[in-house]
Amino acid sequence: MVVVKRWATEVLTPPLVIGLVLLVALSITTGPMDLPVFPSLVAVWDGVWGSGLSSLQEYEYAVVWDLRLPRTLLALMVGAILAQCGAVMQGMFRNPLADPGIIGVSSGAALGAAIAIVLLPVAVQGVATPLAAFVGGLLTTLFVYSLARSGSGTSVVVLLLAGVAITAFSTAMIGLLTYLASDTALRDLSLWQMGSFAAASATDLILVLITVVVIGTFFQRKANALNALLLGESEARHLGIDVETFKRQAIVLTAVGVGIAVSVSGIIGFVGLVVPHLVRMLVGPDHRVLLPLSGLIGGGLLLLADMGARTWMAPSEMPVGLVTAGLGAPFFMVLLFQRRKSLI
Amino acid sequence: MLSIKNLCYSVSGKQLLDIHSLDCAEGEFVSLLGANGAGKSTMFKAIGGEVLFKGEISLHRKPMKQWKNLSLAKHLGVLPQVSQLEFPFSVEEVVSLGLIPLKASKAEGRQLVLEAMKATDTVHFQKRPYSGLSGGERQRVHLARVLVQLSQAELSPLLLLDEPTSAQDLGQQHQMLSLAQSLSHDRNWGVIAILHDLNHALRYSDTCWLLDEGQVIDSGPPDMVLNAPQVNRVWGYVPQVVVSDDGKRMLL
Amino acid sequence: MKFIAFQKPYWILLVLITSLMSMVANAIEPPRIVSTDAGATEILLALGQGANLVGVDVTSKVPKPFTPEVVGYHRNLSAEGLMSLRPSNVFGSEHIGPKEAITALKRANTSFLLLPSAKTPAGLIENIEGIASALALSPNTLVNQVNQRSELLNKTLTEITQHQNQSKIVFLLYLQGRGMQQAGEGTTGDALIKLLNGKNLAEFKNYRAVAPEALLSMQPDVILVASESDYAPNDLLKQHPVLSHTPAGKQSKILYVDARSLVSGISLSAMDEAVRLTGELSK
Repeated sequence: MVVVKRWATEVLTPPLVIGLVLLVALSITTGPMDLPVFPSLVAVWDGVWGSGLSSLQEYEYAVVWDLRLPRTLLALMVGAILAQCGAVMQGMFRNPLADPGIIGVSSGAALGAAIAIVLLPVAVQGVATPLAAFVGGLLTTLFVYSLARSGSGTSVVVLLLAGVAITAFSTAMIGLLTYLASDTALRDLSLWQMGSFAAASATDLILVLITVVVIGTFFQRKANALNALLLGESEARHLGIDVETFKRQAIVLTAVGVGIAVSVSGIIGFVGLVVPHLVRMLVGPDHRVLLPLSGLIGGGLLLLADMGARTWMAPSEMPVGLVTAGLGAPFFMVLLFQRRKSLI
Repeated sequence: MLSIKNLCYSVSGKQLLDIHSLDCAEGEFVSLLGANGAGKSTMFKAIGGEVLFKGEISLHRKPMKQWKNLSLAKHLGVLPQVSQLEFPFSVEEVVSLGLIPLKASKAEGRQLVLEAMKATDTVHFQKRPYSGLSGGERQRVHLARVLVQLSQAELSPLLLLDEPTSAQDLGQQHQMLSLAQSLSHDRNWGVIAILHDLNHALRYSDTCWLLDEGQVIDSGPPDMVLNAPQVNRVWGYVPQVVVSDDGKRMLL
Repeated sequence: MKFIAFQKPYWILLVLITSLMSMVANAIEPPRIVSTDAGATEILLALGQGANLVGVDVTSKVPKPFTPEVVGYHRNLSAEGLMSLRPSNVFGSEHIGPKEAITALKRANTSFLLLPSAKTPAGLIENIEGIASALALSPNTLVNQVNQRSELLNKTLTEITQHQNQSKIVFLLYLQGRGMQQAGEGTTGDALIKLLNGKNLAEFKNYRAVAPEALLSMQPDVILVASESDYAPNDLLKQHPVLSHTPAGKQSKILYVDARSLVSGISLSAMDEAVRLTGELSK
């Protein structure tokens, strides 16, 4: 007899948290530059408490605080956002294939970024590209959503189809823009679409921190609504969930979350799709544990991918999106192959 | 407890439901009968608040719209006909979804889930994946879930069963209906079940609502409602009435 | 490298002399140089700094025996990757990025020299002088060399224009089997046409895809075909025989340009390429 095995959260969480802390320490102490391990960690302490215990040179200190720490935190938080939004989208649409981009956020953001990169002068692109990406992602989602809404509610089928259509349209528009683009813009655009954490600024970090907290707490409180929705919309309604309101909130919030993640780091595929599946294999589809663990594992995996991105081809840098897709996809296929019987 | 007054529901000019007045009392087991397309499921949707209708439906004298979502969920349970689940739930986890509107500690919750599974004869496969179950087993799992959902009702809850016997074998059909009957008779719940087998209605229900083209053509004790001319009118078939050994009427 | 191939003895001599000079000048601590621009790399090599190059971008071509690390694409530099090379000087185009990487490097006391892409020999000389002064080297030998090239170029071009009007030129980026792109204003192709004293028939900015029919209607006197393979003009004619009816086709003025010499504006190798092209044009 097939029996569903589940890892208890109490068993799974401590090693995961310890693993994540170790990963952060590893991320701070590795990079193309050879910095001594212990003083690097002490430098983090110094920076927080204003002490002067570390033996690092000033420029080495800058490597830890200006380069490694920001991108470590950014990778963690963006990974958590993408994985959680992926879990929410899959749950809400009752579709294991959904990823955070399914309602058109990513493609809209890509189009926004492409417009900024190709049509605006290089000087303003630093600000304009993330902004255009965010606005593009949000507008696309709102358009898709308003298309799917009617008097009697929001049709998931229309929503998904509209998402597919808008993605096709955005791709065509980006194609048109690449046709007009100069070589530099073209190269920038393709790099942007492969994602990177290299440009982690303090504003990015604050923005992403707020996002991760808001998204994390909101969806944690709505975990039961998501669970109920897995049964179907009318079943969820019978279980006392205000389905329409929740759908609207969830769509707007994931669009904002993914929009912000994409605008600070470019397009990073696969985390939002794979991580929730991975976690479901461990703890099952209950969103009360699925969501926090997805955040934890999503952050950890993206951090790991970024560590690969910045060390494998050192001194040059690989786009992190290539690492996530290049390693994530085969890994996922192996997992599917092994577990295909227990997945419906 | 449930009262339907002047219920009208139409889609693009076509009248799907037109019900003047219907009542279901506490402790009453109502069978909802009618040919395909008569409006039985639509009526469930109207009671469940899934369609916009004219008229008034109230539960315990309070119009449905005035009920708070969570409070209504504790007093109105719907067993759907089929339920697809795209995600790898275990049986126990599906039943636990009934806890969503409730306030229960972990231990209390587990106890409620276990009781519901016992009542629906699903305990022995509680750890199995839902996706591996047969249609009948799935239906019982969902019944257990709905039982959990209604287990903390302050007033008598109303249970709507949409063809609860459709995927069960003979023995299970009777178990299911006995359970529904005992819920209404022993625990004073209101139960309305869409049934296809008229003999099930005759045997288990206290009242029968006969629906034809969105209108109630008769309601009352099943023995009275299910007479040969009315069965012929609704289903276009003239049944033979026999009396079983225990004195109950049966239709062949 | 193309320019070495062409004027071999001269360049080698130049390289030798300048490296000798720089060795004397920096006997104690040689600079650690990163160049993120192909043009800057050429200048640094010509100034004899090959041995001091610790990192170059993907577009730079560095001959043996020098083996600097490759630091990637100049718009996507890794701050820490660059820092790990402990560069004393970074030379690159003004489009170098991302800005966070540059800020971090500046904090680590790396001196930056960001050069505009040269569109004229004068611009090239300015870049040479800039790089030389940043490294405390004398630019004179190399500047003279560029000036000589420039003069040679102008002399040949004057000779050509004595017989004929200003040439109408089309510059094509030939993408094997994937069509061709015509160079408009602001491109290095345009700069090369100007260097050859020609008139660019394109009336737009950047590169744009162009159809053979449109080329025919432009009636160019010269078609420059930029590619990495010198077989490109033949390829092009084979694919689009209609081009043989252009004035350029009739006078066999569909000429190959080494695309690698043009990745970074009017560079030293672009100058060499221009000199070679004037030779072809005067035939």
